[in-house]
Amino acid sequence: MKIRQSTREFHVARPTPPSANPAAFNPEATRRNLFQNRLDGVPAHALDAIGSRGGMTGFQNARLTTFDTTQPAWHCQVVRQVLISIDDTRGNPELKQQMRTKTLLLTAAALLAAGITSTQAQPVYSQNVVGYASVATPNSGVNYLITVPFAIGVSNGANEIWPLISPGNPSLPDYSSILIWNSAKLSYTTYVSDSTSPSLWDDAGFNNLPGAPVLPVGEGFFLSPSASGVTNTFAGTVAVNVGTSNKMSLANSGVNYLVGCVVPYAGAVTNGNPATGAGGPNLNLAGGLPDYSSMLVWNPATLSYTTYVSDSTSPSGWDDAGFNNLPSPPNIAVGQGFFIVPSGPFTWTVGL
Amino acid sequence: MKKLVLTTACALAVTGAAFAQGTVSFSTISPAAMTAQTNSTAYSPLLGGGATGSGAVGATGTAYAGYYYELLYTTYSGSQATIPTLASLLAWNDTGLGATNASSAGHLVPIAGSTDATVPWATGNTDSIVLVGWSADLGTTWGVVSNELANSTYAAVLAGQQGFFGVSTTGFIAAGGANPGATVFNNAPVAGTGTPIFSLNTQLYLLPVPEPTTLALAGLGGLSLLLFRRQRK
Repeated sequence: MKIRQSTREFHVARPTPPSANPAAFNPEATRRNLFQNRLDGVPAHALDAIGSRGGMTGFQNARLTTFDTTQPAWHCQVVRQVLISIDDTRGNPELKQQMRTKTLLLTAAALLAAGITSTQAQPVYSQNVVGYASVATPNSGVNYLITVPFAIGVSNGANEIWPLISPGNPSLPDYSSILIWNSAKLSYTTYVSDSTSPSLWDDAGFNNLPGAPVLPVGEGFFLSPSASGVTNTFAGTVAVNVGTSNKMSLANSGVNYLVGCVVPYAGAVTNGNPATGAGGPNLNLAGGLPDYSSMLVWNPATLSYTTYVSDSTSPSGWDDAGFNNLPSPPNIAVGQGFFIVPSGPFTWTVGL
Repeated sequence: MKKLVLTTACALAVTGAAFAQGTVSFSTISPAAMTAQTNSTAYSPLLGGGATGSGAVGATGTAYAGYYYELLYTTYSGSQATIPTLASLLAWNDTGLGATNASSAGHLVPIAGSTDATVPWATGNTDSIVLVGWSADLGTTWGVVSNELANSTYAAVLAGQQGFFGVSTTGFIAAGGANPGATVFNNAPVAGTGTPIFSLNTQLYLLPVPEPTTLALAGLGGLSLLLFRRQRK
């Protein structure tokens, strides 16, 4: 497989005078020319995370390589990756020659198209989808069961999810804690946010960590903010590309898996195409979830779980903990984590 | 001085052990792993055994609180525990976790359903577990029912009613350190935490209560003995 990459760089004028508060700066007017999405109100640091992520994946991507609101112009870069050929001739010289001819024509057409598009600085499109979600964790000291619904930064490290807005100014209040579940040990590992730590995170003993904990898409965790009124803005790339599905293996019966939906779907857990998982969380028997599997939904107000049991004989596909049929299945919100306890091997398919 | 230090250390150790609490997941009793039936064709093997000659076997009823269940535990010996006699069962300890019948026949539901259920053994320790079940006419708590069984007073309590009692197969689990804890009921071993209870169609057998005619004969026998004694005097 051959891929040709072309890069065009240019500057765009800053759309508004420099702002005294970079975090409040809204770059929407210029960014609309670079991204085909609507991200009004996204903090600057979050947009920067999208940009760096977007430049690394997909066939065609654009990113802002310089994002300094004090500069009169922004340095922008359009990276265009064009698939030139896939050698599938299996050693047949005649077929290979035909393919070469076709490849040449395709390459020329692709380059022509790319050149025209780049020259005109038209909006570019990517196969991945970017977005953001605001997940409120309003009360200090309360445990909220959440998940990061997007791929953020390079590794989904907690330092990329909650970066410093400016030196000494963390996006998550210092000494907030996250609890990451270990399903084998039935215990949590605690990490504490600390803007003075090189990784921005400490262990439970407030020792600086060399690396921040990683919070992959699809993994649930508890967050206990150290201040009231915290709203977490998660901005990044949807972890599943358009037209594809993610398969998460929850292989062991009776194991408590702390998860989140890998595509930021909200609504009934039974929504979605049973085969591809497109359109919803796809948690029902048709989607492969064995009957009598449990779903534990955390209630931060009562600090307890509500248990639901999958039951294909129930009209909604779900029962309460007493096996009483529920009129409607449980719902989840974007960014909500929950436990799944399968009653048999389960491969959770979610698509976009 | 040494004695004082040792005594204090021992006391602290005992206190620590007494307050050691691990967690188990007791929010759902999966029908894929645990269901119950009443069996009036045979007497309880732990209390007499044998066939009654009639009766039926069927899923426990659906009237809430018609049946009660309690999770018991004992030290894990390294292999799956067996319960050959009533005396061996009564030596098991009560976890304090109870259940009753669900509105679906044969299904069980925790009485105070929550996943923050704690058990009286420490995080990471493995203990054997078993679920005992009985009909509500025997009582509503394991404390009451275990006394009736130990002292053979259950016949008087039942007063001619049918009473049922049974035990599940045993399991063994290592308690967790957070919520939700170790799975108590499952159809397969759970990696790292042991083998939960897997006991489909757990039999709650009829308790062997003497028939009224038997009681009458026993009464006559007693009277004749008294009469015989008086005559000899």
